[in-house]
Amino acid sequence: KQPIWVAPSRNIALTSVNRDAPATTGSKAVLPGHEYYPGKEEYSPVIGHREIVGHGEIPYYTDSFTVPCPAIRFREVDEALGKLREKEKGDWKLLSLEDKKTLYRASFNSTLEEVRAPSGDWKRCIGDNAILMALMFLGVSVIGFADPQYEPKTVTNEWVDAQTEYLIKRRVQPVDGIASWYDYENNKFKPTWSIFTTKETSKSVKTLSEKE
Amino acid sequence: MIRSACKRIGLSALNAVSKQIKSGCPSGLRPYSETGPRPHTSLYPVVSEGTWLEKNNYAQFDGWELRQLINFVAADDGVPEPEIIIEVLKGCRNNNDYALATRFLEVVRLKGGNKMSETWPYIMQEIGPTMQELGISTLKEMGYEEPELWLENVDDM
Repeated sequence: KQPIWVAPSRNIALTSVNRDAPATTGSKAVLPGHEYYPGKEEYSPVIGHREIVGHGEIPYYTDSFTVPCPAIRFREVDEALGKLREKEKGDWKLLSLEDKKTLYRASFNSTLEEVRAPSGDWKRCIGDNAILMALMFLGVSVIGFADPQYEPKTVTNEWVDAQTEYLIKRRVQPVDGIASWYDYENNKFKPTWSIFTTKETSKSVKTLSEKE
Repeated sequence: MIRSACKRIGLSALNAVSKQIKSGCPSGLRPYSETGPRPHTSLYPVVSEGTWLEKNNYAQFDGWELRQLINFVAADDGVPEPEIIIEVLKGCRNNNDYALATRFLEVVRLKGGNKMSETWPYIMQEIGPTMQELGISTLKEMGYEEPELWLENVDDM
């Protein structure tokens, strides 16, 4: 069977440009469903032997809802697909479900529902962040408790006691904060203050209240 | 690298296209100058001078024009009417392209958006007879109303 359209000879300038392209000018057995089409040799370095079916100067394949029909089919033609294409030319009621699915996947990589499906990437993001935060906490705890040189001085009891003394004298946060927990008439902390004490700090708190 | 390859191919293709394309080539690769009046891909009415507007003959379109029409349907704001859908399916049948028919049906279904549950049953009701005539199975039978295969997203690789 002769092709419907025959390519005329090329210029010498073009052959120098196409020198790096693989040799596609040899005669190939034409499988059914894979006739010659214009642009087959020029575009074969980019798209292989896939059939051009749509608009596009340099045809490429994409899956998207906004451009559902790209310029080229997805797969190249084998013998089995060639036979399917011959079958496709007949009655579609004779096609089985598997045939229909293979025909679809030959033209398209994924369905539009698969394009809309979520990827679940948020799990990876949160997991990676959790790992990094854990490493950070590990490092701070290991380094912070290992060497007192790296301990910030604002954590020591001396600093905290001087800080609380200043705050109580200035009567900051009288409604919801520290001054509301301090009994200024009896010069001690109200019993609710005990929530924030540990064994070490409770001693210093008692001395503070006795001072006041 | 891709850019230089594309330049080379573009040069050769441009030269090829300008010399070699004739009307009546089987598939793919045509310049816009070879297309006629295109009322099926324009938002405004197209009038070809000296002739009356013909009835839409989507069923006689070839694969290239059908794909342009389907891309336009996907871009336009609205669900196509059942008459248009039937003509496009007949056009797919004339071009012996079954995959394009299913793709078009998927597009029509997803154009409903949030009202998919209202529009899709109505459209299936209207085009059911023609689909049985042509032998196109519904999306539910194919299993394409939900995702079938999983593919890793390119942005996550």
